Amino acid sequence: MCEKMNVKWNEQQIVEQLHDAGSREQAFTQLVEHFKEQLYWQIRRMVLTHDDADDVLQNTFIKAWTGLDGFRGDAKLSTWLFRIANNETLNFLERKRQALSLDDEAAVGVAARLESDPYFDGDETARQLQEAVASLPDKQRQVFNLKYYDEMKYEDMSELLGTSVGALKASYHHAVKKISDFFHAQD
Amino acid sequence: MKEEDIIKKLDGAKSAFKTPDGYFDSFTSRLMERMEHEGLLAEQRPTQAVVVEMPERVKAIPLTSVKRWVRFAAAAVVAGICMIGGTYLYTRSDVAEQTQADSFAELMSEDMLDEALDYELLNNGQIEYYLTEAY
Repeated sequence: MCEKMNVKWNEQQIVEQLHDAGSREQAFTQLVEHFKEQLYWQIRRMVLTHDDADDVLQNTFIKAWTGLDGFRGDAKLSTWLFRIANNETLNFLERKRQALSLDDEAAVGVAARLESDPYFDGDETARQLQEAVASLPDKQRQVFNLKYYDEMKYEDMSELLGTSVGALKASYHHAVKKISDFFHAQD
Repeated sequence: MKEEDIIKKLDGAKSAFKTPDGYFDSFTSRLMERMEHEGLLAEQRPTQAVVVEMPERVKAIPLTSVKRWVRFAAAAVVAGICMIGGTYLYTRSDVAEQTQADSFAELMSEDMLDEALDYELLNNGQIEYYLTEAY
């Protein structure tokens, strides 16, 4: 249906095309091509399994499509999409928690979910790291993932999450300490 | 060991997540197909781009063919009018004759009818006989 886009990315032009009914669909296809990979990894590190990440990513883009009229270009497209993906991810995790009783949650813990996912190829240390990260509160986990995996600057993170740089630094420090404690406890 | 050192030691665990082969290559087309299937794309397409398909039979008939059909139709209508009119007139005259005959029969007695029939059934020879013999 749509061929892989090799068109040079021009954000201002894409934004204009997204607001024109005649070019909206094509511009949206370019937008998906440009951001799909970045958003996938952001989501995947939170929901852990590939199937869940695929569902949340599709829902993120569908939300973006249906909310295009609400995007006025005040923020960057990347910021706008990141926030949608963030909300979709947190809502997904919350729904999943509500759907599971405590016993179920223990049965389908992080280790069990990662073992059942054919697209997780980590060793024991990798599984322990994911268990440690999963034990963090959702927002602290997001900060840790953005800093640790994406090596994002605190200033950029501040714009994405709408949190002060100081608060983000403190949040990352707490996350690292908890993960470190987790591994010390394993020794 | 410092906390940051432990985190750095875990760097090898960063690449544990994988995706199916070709996942990113096919993602956009799968997403757009899903959106098309759910009617989300059609909702936002410009209205002027909506083309109302004409039925094939209406589109396919050329003007000359239309004229020919108009002629056939006109001829059929005229033929129909002639048939209906003719049948009507024929039926009317038939009825009129029947009515006239019935009235005549009422006026004449049975003997008179017999006599009239006899007279009617006379051939030329009999007529000549009656005339020459001074009947």
